[in-house]
Formats: sequence, C-alpha cells, structure tokens
Amino acid sequence: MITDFPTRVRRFYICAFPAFITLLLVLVVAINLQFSGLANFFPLFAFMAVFYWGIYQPELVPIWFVFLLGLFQDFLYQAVPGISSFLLILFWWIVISQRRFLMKESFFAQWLIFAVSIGLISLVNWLIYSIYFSHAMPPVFAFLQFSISVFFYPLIHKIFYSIYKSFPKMI
Amino acid sequence: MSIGKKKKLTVFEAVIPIRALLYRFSVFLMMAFALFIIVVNRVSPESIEKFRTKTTDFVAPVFSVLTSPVQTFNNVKDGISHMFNIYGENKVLRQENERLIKMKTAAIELEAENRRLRELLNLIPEQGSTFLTARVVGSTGGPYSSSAIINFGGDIGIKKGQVVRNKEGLVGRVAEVGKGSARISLITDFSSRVPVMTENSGERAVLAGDNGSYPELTHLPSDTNVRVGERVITSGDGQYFPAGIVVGVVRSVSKDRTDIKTAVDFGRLGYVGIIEYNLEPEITPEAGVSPQ
Repeated sequence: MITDFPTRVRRFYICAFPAFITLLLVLVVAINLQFSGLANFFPLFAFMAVFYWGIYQPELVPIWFVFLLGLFQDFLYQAVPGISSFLLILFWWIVISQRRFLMKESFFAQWLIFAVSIGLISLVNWLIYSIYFSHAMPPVFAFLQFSISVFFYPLIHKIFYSIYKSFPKMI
Repeated sequence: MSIGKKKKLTVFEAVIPIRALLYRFSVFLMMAFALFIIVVNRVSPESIEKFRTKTTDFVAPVFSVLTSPVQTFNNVKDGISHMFNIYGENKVLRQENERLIKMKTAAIELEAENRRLRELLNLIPEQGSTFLTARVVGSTGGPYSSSAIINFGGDIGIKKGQVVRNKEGLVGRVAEVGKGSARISLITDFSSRVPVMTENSGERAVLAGDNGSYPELTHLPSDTNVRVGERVITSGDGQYFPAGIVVGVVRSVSKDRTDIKTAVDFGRLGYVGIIEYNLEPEITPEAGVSPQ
C-alpha cells in the first residue's frame, strides 16, 4: 500500500509512541520526587513494556531498541553497564518465542506469568551482581523491587492497552 | 541464458543471506555484546564512564525542569505547615534564640582561648574548605547502588572525589563529573566506606554502606564502648573526608552488627553543598595509597 509522506511520518510517530512512553517511564522513576525511601525500589517499567509489546505488537519493540533501552537504564541508574541490556534481551526473546501462547491467556494468567518470569530475571540479576562483585549481594532489595514491579504491572498493562486500542483510530 | 550458468548476484542479493543469518543470531549477538560491555566495565571502568556522564549530562536539564514543580510544591507545603504552627514555632524559636545567645558568648570566649593556645603551640592551621551549592535533580540507584544526580558539573569546577553534605550531615562524594551535571555516590552505596568516630566514646570505625538506611559500623574493637543513640561523625582519617561532619546516630549495637541511622534522609534530598576539601587524601580510590 502506497501512502503519502505525511501519513508515513504520522505512522512513524504513532509507532514510536510506545517506545517513547517506555523511555519516559524509565526517566520519570529517576526524577528526584523527594518521596522518602522510594528511590531505590523503582518498578521495572522497561520489562513491563517489553512484556506487553512483545506479546501484542513485537515490531514496536525491536531488539536494538531493547538493547539501547537497557544500556540507557544502566547508565542512568548507575548499574553495571550491559546487565539490563542482557536481561532485557533474554526476557524479550522468551516473550517473543512464547507470544502465541501468551496472547491467548487471560489478563490474570499474563500477570502471573509476568510475576514468575520477572522473579527469575531478578534472580539472574542478583546472581550476575554477586559474581561481578565477588560477594553475595543482599537479596532483600531485589525482592522489594520484584514485589513493587508485580504490584504496578496491572496499571502499566492498562495504560499500554489503551494505547494499543487507540492505534487503528490513530492510523 | 543457459541452464547451469550461475546468475550474477547483485550486492543487495548477496547481502540478504548474511542479513537473515544476522537476524537469526541477533539475540545471541546482542547478548554477547552486552556481556562484552560488562567485562569491559569490569576491566576498564573509565572507558565506559564517559558514556555514563554523557547520559547524565543529557538527562540532567530535563530532570532540572521536571523537579522544579516538585521543589515548589514542597516549599509551598512546608510554608502552609509553618503557617499553621507559627505561634508554637515562634515560642520555641524565642527560647532557642535565648539559648543561642548564651552559646554565642561562650563560643566567642572559646575561640579567643583557642587562638591563644594555637599561638602558644605554634600550630599550623588546617587549610580551609569552600563549597558550592547544587540541587539534587535525580535520585538514581537501584537494588545494588545508591546515587543521585546534581544540576552542576565540571563547568563550574565540580571535581571527582569532592565531599557532599547538606544541612543534616554527610551525603556522599562526587563519583562522576559531566559538563553540566555530576553524580554523587551516597554513603549508603555498597561501595561507600567512610572513616568515622563516635562523638562520646571516641571509638574509630569504618562506615560501610549496604544500600539501606542503616549502614554498618565495621572495624570496631570487640570490647567496644559504643552506645545506642551516640552521634557518629567523620574522623578525618585518611584525609578523604573533613573531620567532624555528622553522619548519623548509633541505632543498634550487638555482637554481630553495629549500625547507624543516617542523619540525612536520602529519600528527601533537596539542596546539597559540594565541599572543596583542600587536603590531599592519603588513599585515593583510583590509585591506592598516594605518594607523600
């Protein structure tokens, strides 16, 4: 289908919208909101985005974007650079390979699968950090981050769902 | 065209199988590249640091704009709260003022006495320190790190290793410096080690960050005299931090672990002072023991 240039530009912006929202979420978490005690336990928004868009619109989260998102997150949060990229790609690969199965599942089943997979990712993350620093890192903070991510997932799912539903009208 | 004669491929057609192959293995290639970055960072962190500071420089102005309403909101909230408590606060402030006037008189006398004693001992005075004030615009960190981003950087003279404090006490030190932003490694960070001493018992220890609000006092003697509630200040050992900055109060003392509650509420960092500390540290994180 041949479309004119303004339509293609418009379509590009619409397709870039989920990526933009994801980047915004990753950024917003790092803003100094001065809420006592919340700074270190931000929800894993990047993983939520990869999970949702990986299931419903994988072309909106290409692998290079996932890689750069992870790297950006690591640079921003003073994490070991490369770790988030590694984990996000691993997560993306699992989601993409299982998307046909995941698409058929109900919201609650998807939430449960997200919780289990993000739990495993947090465990791998903890292992990598422990190996990297040659010292067993306390698992309590990773557990708190995992819990807060699982808690926030329905809200993010709802936001992404509204964006997803508005696509046909926008395009 | 005869059968069996090979068709000449265009460059585009020749590249297609390679692209398909790359796409198929892109997951593994990207993961391998991510692992490569991890290894490079482990072996040579300074080669990655410039990318990190570029990211910080890029986001700091955005954060600066976005945190302004938060700062204004907090100021208004505090203002309203003060307005409701104005009568009570005024009464407390009057009492405090009377106490401070007495303390000021005592301080002037002590200063004069100190000066006389210094002259008697012919003591060389310590070099003073100056400081810059910056606003914390980003609270970055995660389960394995604690840091913050400030809205000033190398362009106004902030340097790596400088000490950061606020009105409550010690915040941390400058870990990375960009052009218009800098990153502070907080004293609660896993990698943070601060030489400290307890104010009353005079016990020296090293404060080790654990990413929580209650960092541990390590290297204390087994028969320690440290008491719960005692104030902990920087000892100035190693000349890395100036002596006498409040760090926190002792929260618990046990055989296995002695920890403190930090004086600074790291969840509510607003403005901080970057201290230009003029003494050369005996030990630097990069070079180990400095030649002296």
